[in-house]
Amino acid sequence: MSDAPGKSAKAANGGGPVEKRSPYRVLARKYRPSTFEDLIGQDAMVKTLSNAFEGGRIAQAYMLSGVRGVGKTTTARILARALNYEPQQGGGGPTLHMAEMGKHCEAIIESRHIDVIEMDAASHTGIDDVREILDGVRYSPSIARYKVYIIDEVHMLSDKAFNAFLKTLEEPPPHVKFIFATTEIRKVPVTVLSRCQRFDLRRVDGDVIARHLAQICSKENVKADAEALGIIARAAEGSVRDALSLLDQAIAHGESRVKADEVRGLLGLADRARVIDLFEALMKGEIESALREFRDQYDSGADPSTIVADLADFTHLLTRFKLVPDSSSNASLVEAERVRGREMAEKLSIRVLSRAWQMLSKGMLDVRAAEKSAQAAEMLLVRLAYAADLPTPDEALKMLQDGSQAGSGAPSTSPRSPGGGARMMLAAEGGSRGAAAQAVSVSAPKAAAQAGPRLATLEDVVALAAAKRDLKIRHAVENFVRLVRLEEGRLEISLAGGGPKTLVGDLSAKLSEWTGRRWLVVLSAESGGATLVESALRKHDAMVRDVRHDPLVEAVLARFPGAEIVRVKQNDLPETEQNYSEIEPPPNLGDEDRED
Amino acid sequence: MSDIEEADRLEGVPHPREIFQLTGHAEAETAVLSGWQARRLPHALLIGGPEGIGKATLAYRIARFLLANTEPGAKALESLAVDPEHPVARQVMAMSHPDLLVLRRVSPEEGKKAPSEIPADMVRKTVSFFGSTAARGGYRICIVDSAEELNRFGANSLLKILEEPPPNSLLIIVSHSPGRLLPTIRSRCRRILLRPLDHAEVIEAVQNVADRIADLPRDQIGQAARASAGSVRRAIQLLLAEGLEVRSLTIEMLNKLPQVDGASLSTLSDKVQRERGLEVFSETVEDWLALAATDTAGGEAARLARYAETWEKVRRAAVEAEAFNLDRRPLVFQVFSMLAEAARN
Repeated sequence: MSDAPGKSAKAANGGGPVEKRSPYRVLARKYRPSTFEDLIGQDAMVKTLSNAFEGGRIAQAYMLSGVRGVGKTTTARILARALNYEPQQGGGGPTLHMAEMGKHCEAIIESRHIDVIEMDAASHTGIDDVREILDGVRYSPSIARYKVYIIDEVHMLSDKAFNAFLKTLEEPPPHVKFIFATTEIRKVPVTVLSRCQRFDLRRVDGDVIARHLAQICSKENVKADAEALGIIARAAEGSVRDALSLLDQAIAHGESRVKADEVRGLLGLADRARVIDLFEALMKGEIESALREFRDQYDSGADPSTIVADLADFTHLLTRFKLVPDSSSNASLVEAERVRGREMAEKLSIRVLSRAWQMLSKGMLDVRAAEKSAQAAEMLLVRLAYAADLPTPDEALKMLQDGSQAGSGAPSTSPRSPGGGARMMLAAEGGSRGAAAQAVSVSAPKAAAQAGPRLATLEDVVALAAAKRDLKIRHAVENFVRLVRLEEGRLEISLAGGGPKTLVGDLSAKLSEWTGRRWLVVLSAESGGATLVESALRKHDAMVRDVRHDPLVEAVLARFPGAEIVRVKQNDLPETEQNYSEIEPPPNLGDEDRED
Repeated sequence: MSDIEEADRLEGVPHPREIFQLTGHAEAETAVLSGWQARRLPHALLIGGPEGIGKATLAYRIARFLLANTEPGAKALESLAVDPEHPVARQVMAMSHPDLLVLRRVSPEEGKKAPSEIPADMVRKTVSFFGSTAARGGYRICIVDSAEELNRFGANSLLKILEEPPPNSLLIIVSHSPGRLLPTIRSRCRRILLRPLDHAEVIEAVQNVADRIADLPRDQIGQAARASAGSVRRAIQLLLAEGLEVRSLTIEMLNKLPQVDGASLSTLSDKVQRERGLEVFSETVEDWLALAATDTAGGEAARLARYAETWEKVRRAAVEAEAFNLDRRPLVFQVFSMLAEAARN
């Protein structure tokens, strides 16, 4: 009955009773391209192929892949035609320029040519089916130049069937060409793939499809709203055949004109403008009006999962508007999307959008899986609207700062470590020359004057140990060494409880080795200062206390109930300091805060 | 017939093909009828909507009508009704009409269980079915009930025939959630979306079949219809096997939240343990939560969001319990502890 609706629709458009008798073919079949000039959206492939044909470099096997309805089977048939093209007066060779119908063209287009064998691999999956083909390969073509085997849905072949192909596919007789088409290229064994020239057909752009539909409408004498065609083009998701099937339906459905409303009804889509309304209500956190809007749309026939998908689409659109302002000129967009979309894109941050997108894309699966999809969608909307009320963390901070502390997040109270410059110098000495040059030029001009590493503080010793990758020394110095006095060539220390006795000797030897100067390390009777770890912990403690009383942090803690200060980290400290903060504080120290 | 399991039939309840009254959906029926009269019927219909509202009943009704009436416009027809005594109606009821192919989950032979999905081989039958001439010279009709039960191979094998079927063919695809189908199937079909029935329609539909169901408590039909959310299937399910009891007990407990009474919780969990109890229980809780979460007058956004979240958790827990065949009793306890927490905050 596929022919009846379209046929009578055409009859209504003035075709008359005569037309009624000719069998009706759906648009997708009627307008199947028969030359590469008619094929839309696959320019790269066509270019490659035409160059290959002109240069006489025609592969023995082609593999065409791509999603449904982008032109795989069509390309295969055109290729078969091009390979066997022979003008009526004879002569010629394989060419893509087929100005007129050649001797074999008509038969090939109608897939009834004796030398072009089309096999549906989905229904002939077994090895016997393949053997049948292979048996025919050695005979030369009956009337045409080449014997062309078109094997559609090739991913459905069984493993054995694929393997049976391999030998022939590697070295087929010169008169045989294979063309494979598949939607699932990953199911095809690599051994087959490597023997073929492969083309991945692209999804066709929405506006290209929309233009194509408009052309077909004018050929069919059907009036169509540009918006309606835009909707169809978008719903087709890059597949030309889907677009044409939808157009077919829309033409049969509408009396004399393809209208946007009717197409929406046909697809179960809500009006784009209403989807935007819904999205706006959600982003404003107005649960009540969002739910009302959703109910209205649902009652007027929109499918819940389509509404959610549309919301996700719109979120994606806004994100694109933000990042690629040009994208608003896309022809498949309706006016409302362009204007209001741009407006909203300015107001909403990327973070808000990506959060909405995450919730929607996760919710979409739930809504689809749910039996009561309307209920599931409502639950999703409630949560979405609630989340819209919550600021994203960085927004909350910005709101709190309120201009007083605009600029980079970290307060500039952090004291620059005195050993910073030296640390860099040490790093330079430690090895890489390139890094040295950089460090020198950036932050430590006096380093140029120094011949070797200078040790002024205990931190410098640790840094040197770190640069030399001596973890044992580093750890010991950090944990057990109390500094008494440090001067060039002489280090007086006392050991904290539990410190290894051998440390003094080891340290002396290592320092002499690393610096190239003699170092004397002595155990002093004086008790000395705190170890590095102790002082780091103390400092950290003080910092946590400070931070807790910082008005900004206080406000954050109040704003996010349940928030804790887990760790305090200063952003602009040089590496030495950060190394200390990596020292795990004992558990009782507990609360730290990250303030950046 | 008795040894063959039909997965599309609720046990003890007439199959959609045996039901001759269509309750509600008048608009959809007229659309099909007028399309047929104008010779503009598309070659594929997708009937979508929640479970138990009469999608399959409509599908069989269309099929019977098209098989029984060959000439559009020959006589003025007002509905798709076909006399139950008409030979076509009898053949459809016996599933023996040569021009009707139904793809559904049904045991391949007597005594075997129905497969968990519609086998791809069954779908491939469409090729020979549509490839041969109609036995009676009219329509050839294929009903897919439901499309969710097609596996990947089955769904894909359907695409070719859906795209280019021969003249005088009709495919009727029944789907509980069209959003879940392959987009390629959706785009090839004319969609008919059906809505849940209203209260009176559910009562009417249940009463229409009440005679043919054993042990149906007629006095509770009204109550069941109220709880059915517009689904006849659900109403009947509630009427059979103490469904209503589980529901009222659940609601009683829900209304007491955040207090949870241990004794009634254990009674409830015992009832849920029994056949179909889980379905009724989780539906009741979900409905209650959905109502609570969308009651915008009754609470601030945070509260609503919490209910919405709990709704999702409950749903997930119920799905898991079903999928892994877990013990239902702990599920009931788990659900109520989640609910109590949501209600308390």
